[in-house]
Amino acid sequence: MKNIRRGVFETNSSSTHSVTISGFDLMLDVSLVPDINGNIIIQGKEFGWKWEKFNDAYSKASYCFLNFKERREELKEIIKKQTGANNVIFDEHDGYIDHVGEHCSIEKIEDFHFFIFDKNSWLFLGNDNEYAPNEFYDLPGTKYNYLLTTEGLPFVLKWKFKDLPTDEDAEEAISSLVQNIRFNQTKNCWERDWIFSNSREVYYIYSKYYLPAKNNKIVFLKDNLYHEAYKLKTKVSELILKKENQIEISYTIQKRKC
Amino acid sequence: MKFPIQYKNGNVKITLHSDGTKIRTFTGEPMPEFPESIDLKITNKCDINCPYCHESSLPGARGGNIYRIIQELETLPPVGIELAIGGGNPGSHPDLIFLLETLKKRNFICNITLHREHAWRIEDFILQDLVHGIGISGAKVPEFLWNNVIYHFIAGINNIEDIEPFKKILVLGFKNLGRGKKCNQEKIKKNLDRWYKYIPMYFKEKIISFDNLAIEQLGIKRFFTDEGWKYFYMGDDGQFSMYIDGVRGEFAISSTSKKRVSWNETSIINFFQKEFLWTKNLKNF
Repeated sequence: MKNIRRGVFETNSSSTHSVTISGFDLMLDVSLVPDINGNIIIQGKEFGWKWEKFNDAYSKASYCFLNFKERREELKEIIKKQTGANNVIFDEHDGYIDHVGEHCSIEKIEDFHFFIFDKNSWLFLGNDNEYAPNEFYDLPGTKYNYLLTTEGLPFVLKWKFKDLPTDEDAEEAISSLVQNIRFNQTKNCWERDWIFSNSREVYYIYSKYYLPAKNNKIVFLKDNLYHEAYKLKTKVSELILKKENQIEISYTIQKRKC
Repeated sequence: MKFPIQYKNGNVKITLHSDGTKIRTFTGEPMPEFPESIDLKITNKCDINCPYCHESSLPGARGGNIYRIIQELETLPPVGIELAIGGGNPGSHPDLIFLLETLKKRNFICNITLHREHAWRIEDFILQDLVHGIGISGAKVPEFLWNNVIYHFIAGINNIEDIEPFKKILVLGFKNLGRGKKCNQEKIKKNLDRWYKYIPMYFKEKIISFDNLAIEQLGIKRFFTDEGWKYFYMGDDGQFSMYIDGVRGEFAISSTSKKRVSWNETSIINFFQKEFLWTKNLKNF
């Protein structure tokens, strides 16, 4: 066990000075401070549209007010107790939560306190339209020992791992890395959102359901295989095997140098 | 003594650095055998007449017997125990320099608190290496720029905005004792409420210490994680520290304790150990 007093001698002539604050190590979030009238005003924000994470008390409080409407009075009391505010005013404004998670529940009132004010308690927000970006769920200071890099694209895609990834982890990372890439043979390589083949341009996409990445290879398939299969009256699986329907790039996973 | 100072006190290992940083390590329950810091009052004499003085110090009040104080302190091991010397105005005691010189030879780390009106002597103290930490009360601007100067403020008396120009501050709780009893309690309550609300605004840019009374009055524990509190809280009064009233010749856990024991009846170590165990048992009970 260790106690520490930082940067001051004992000069108090009435009783010892018993705690010294010098920086924010091991402290709760103290950024919610009442205004000149003693009030704390929290506005509703828009949550869940993109991949975002928060550990500041304001954002987490705003989220709680929006998500736990029936418990707003309890939330106000928690914030008043922590900050000394006379009143806590929640202004819903344009606040909105998209993609509310099924597991988003807080039972005990003291857990709200912990969730809002503890900086180690994070609010992760995302959606089910795309994969989470690299490092998203990792906390600041995480050490990454392995790096996945792609070869054969005009740009290098990278994904950091804490430990040597399993095949499943690597596949998940690749899915996230290439999720917005449409590969076009005539124009070499493109990175575009939600563009599909038309009569003039044919795009290749990655699909882990058809050909999951393995043996250091990522295979992009024509995105119009279904149309072709319909036209040719054949099976999609047969078309997948044809080399002209595939574009292959490679990737490596290496230990990072410290 | 050369910094960093290291010593053992019971099962507690203490390291004290030249900027005042103190690191205490122990396994299990800390069981110190002697106080690692002592609040020492050497006089009740002071000509400032602060209307809130909890010691009710006066210009004509008497000073303590320095020889007897030294005699009591010499019973402690010469390892680097901190002394917070105060009063009254400790600078008014004619034997102050003798006290500081003697205690320096006995390896005590002397710190002193003075009102800014009396602080003209601190340069001498520093140059002679007689004191390490210096507390200044009553300051409006940071006029003393040594590293180890810490400015004292009383929550409930000073306005919280008063701390703005200062980097290192110590916040003391308001003591409803002495002349403090005669202060407008309603005004003090309002003032304390402002400190309670707005003190976190200053955490980012300052080093702020709190005494145990301020910790209670301003609810300082609410800003820490459980782990942080265990790490940074330096203990209750009497756990590692004690008070000596060198004017009345008494030992106590702190200057606000009603329970006091005459130094004719016991020694510092006996008093500390008895009080330590009593406080600990009370806590466990």
